[in-house]
This record gives sequence, structure tokens and C-alpha cells, in this order.
Amino acid sequence: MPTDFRRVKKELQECAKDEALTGVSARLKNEDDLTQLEGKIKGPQGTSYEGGVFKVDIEIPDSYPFEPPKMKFSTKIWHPNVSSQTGAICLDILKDKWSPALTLKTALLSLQALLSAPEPTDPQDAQVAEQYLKEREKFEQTAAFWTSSYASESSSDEIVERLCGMGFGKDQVLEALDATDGDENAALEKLLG
Amino acid sequence: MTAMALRLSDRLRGFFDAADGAEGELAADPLLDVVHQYPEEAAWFIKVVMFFGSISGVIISIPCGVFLTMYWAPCGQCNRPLRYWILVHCVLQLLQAPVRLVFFLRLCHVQSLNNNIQECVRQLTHSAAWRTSKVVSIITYGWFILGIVWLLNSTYCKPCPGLYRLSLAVIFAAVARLLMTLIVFYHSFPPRFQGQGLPPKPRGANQELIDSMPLIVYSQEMRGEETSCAVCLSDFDRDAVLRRLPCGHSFHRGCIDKWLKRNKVCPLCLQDIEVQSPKTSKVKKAI
Repeated sequence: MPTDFRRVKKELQECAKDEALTGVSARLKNEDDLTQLEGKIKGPQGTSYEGGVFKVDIEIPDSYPFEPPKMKFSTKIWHPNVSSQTGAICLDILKDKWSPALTLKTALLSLQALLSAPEPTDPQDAQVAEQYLKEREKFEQTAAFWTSSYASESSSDEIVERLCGMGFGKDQVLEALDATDGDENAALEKLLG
Repeated sequence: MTAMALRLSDRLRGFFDAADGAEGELAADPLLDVVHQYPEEAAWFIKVVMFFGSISGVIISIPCGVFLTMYWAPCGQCNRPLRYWILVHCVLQLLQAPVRLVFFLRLCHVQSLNNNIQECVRQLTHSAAWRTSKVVSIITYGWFILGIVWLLNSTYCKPCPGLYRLSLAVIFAAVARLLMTLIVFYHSFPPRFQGQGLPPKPRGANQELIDSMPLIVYSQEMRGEETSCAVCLSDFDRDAVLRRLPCGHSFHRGCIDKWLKRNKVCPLCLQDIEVQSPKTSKVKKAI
């Protein structure tokens, strides 16, 4: 069964509409492949994930939307329902509770809700879940530390400033950042040729 | 000399690495799906199966080899070529052993380094070695069935009475290994995966049940109802044929039929289409 690409395109447009409001977004990893997407989730306010932006690897299966999109965190995250090693996610709607009326946006929003309200009784990472239940304070500390270590995105202005400080021209820097989707290291590599 | 050895080891490593062009068939491997969802458990399962697979292949082949070298000529007088069967079976097992062992060692290595298991399994399953091993497995199964047939048809063989018993033992060992694989599988994965993955729960509807849901033709006058299909997210065109579920929700006929075959619940309210309870659906609507 071929993937319903029209639907995927529509969903991406839908996602883009209220990105600023929802704090979740999705985009294609490269323009001509509609099966590999990257989602981004802003850490919910008032949680240890606040201030972080978490990337999610999304793979659209052939039988989408009759089967759920495959999602896993590509940003390291300390959370009872996410594997701290692989980023695999334990969330029922991404497995047997999937419905085709759900979308990439609602799935990402569900993930965002999962960040606010972990479910330690149905864990993906047993070690994290145990810490969540037994040593809550330590859990919050670790989660916040992981957020600042792995999920903090420097604002683009800072990156531009840093790269220009290395002696590259501003136009050159902006162009490189544009080509690498704002990835500082990749942009630097590009600039260095 | 060293250069040659290096080139050989490079070539050998390439045999176990993914070919660059293999990216496209990524989704095709069901093993990867399992690894994606349950990396830790899957790694353990694969390790156990690979380890015992390679070891048992070697262990079985040793007595067989000894027996065949001792009694090769007298066994030739039996009415079925069981001596060839055992020989080929052992050769196939021995061919598999190194691949399985490398797989096992690589997984151990990756786990000890805390690296990405999924990536490792992906690389291995896309390697030429894995594909070759798959082909050899299929041949082994075919050969195995042939052996059972020969064994059932063989009569008592006076010049070489041990051959029958040895063949029987080899077949039993193979069956035992298969059973062990199944047992390990059931112990490796949490029950929710088994429930959802392997023997799929009868969640889908048959065509008869689907056809019992009424079809309607969409018109703009249908007020207070959906104007688009929640499955494909497209607006209903005029005169589109929709199927209405007992809960009152409507979808494009083609869209909803595909879904109901997989899971017989309404995509919007998750009500089972077989549970006809107008009362609850009204309550749900009111809420």
C-alpha cells in the first residue's frame, strides 16, 4: 500500500501554521523524501525540560496513516518513558492505540504532554522510572542537567556572532547556516571547506 | 604478506557491513522493527539465538563427522541416501556458524560500548553476510524437510544400523533448537509486544461486517456533520460516497474500509463498530 503522501504534505502545512503557539514542529529531513521527518518539541514550561528543544526522528511507514508514524527522540532526554540510550518512546498512541484520525501534530503534542506527565508505571527506561519514583529530586536534577547539556539550542544570533568572531564574513556565515538548517558545527565545517 | 592479510580482513569486514546502496530497503526488515521498539530485549534475544545457533551447529557436526568417516562405505548400501543428507546438513550448519558468531560478538561489543544497537543490527542485516546466511537458512529448511521424508521412507538398514538413529537424533536436535528459539522469544519480550506483534489480536473487521455499515452520499445539506474525512484529511467532495459508523461518524468509504480491516473501531471516538449501543453514543455526543 503506497503511503498517502498528500496527507503527509497536508499535515506538514497544518503543523507549520501554529508552530509558535503549540511548541511543536515537523519538517522534512530532505526535500524529496516524504518518509523521513524531523520533529521538534519545546520542553513544557514548569518542568525540568523547560528551555530545551527536543528533536524527534519520525519515519512514515508505507501504510501510514493506517499505522502509526515511527518516532524516537534523537535528542538525549532523561524521562521514564523514553530510553536514555536509544530514545525509543513508550506511548500507547504510537503503538496499539493509534488511530488514523491522529496526526503528526497531535502525536507530537502527545509527546509534549508526556514530558509534562510521565507515566512511570509503564516505563521504557526502568532505571529512570525507578529514580523518578524513589528519588524525585535527583530525577529532576538529572533531567534538567540533560536538558541543558543536550537540548538547549543557542539562539541563532549567538551562533552567527560566534562564527563571525572566527573571521568569516557575515553573508558567508548566514549562507552556510541556511544550507545546514542552522546547525552550528555543520555550518563551521562548510565554512572551513 | 601483511598487506595481503590487511586487504583480506578489510574484505571480510566489508562482508559484514551494510552495502551503501541498501538504505532503501530499510523498512522492509521486520527484525529492525522489533529492535526499534525494544532494543535491549531484542539484542538479548538475537545474542542468545546466534550464540546457541553457532555452538549447536558445531556440536552436532562433530559426532556426525566422526560417524560418517567411520561408516561412509557401509552406509551407502541403505535404501535412502541418509549419509549424504547428514553430510550436507552438517556443512550447512558449519557455514552458518561463523556468521552467527560474528553477529553475536558484534552485538556484545556494541552493548559493552553502550552504542546504538539499532544501528548495529541495521548494518548487520543489510550486509552481504546476513543475506547469504538467509539464503543458507532457507536451503537448510528445505533440506531438513527432505531429510524427514527420507527418514520416514527408509527401512531397517542392516549394514549400517547407526545411520537411522543418527539421522533421527539430528532431526530431533534441530526441532529442539527451534523450540528453544520460541521459548527464548517469549521470555525476551514483554507480553504487550507478543500480544500486538506476533499472533495479531483479531482487531480487524471482515468485509461482511464492514458492508453492513450504511453508505451515504455526501451533500452540502448534511448539516452538523463532518465536512472532511478524518482519515485522509481531505474535504468531502459533492456526491462523495461515505460510510457511516454506528457512532454517527462518517468517512470516505475507501478510507474507512481500509482502517476497519485493521481495527474495527471508529478513528474519531474509538467506539467498537460491533458494539451497537445508541445510548452510549448519544451520551458521548452530549459530552
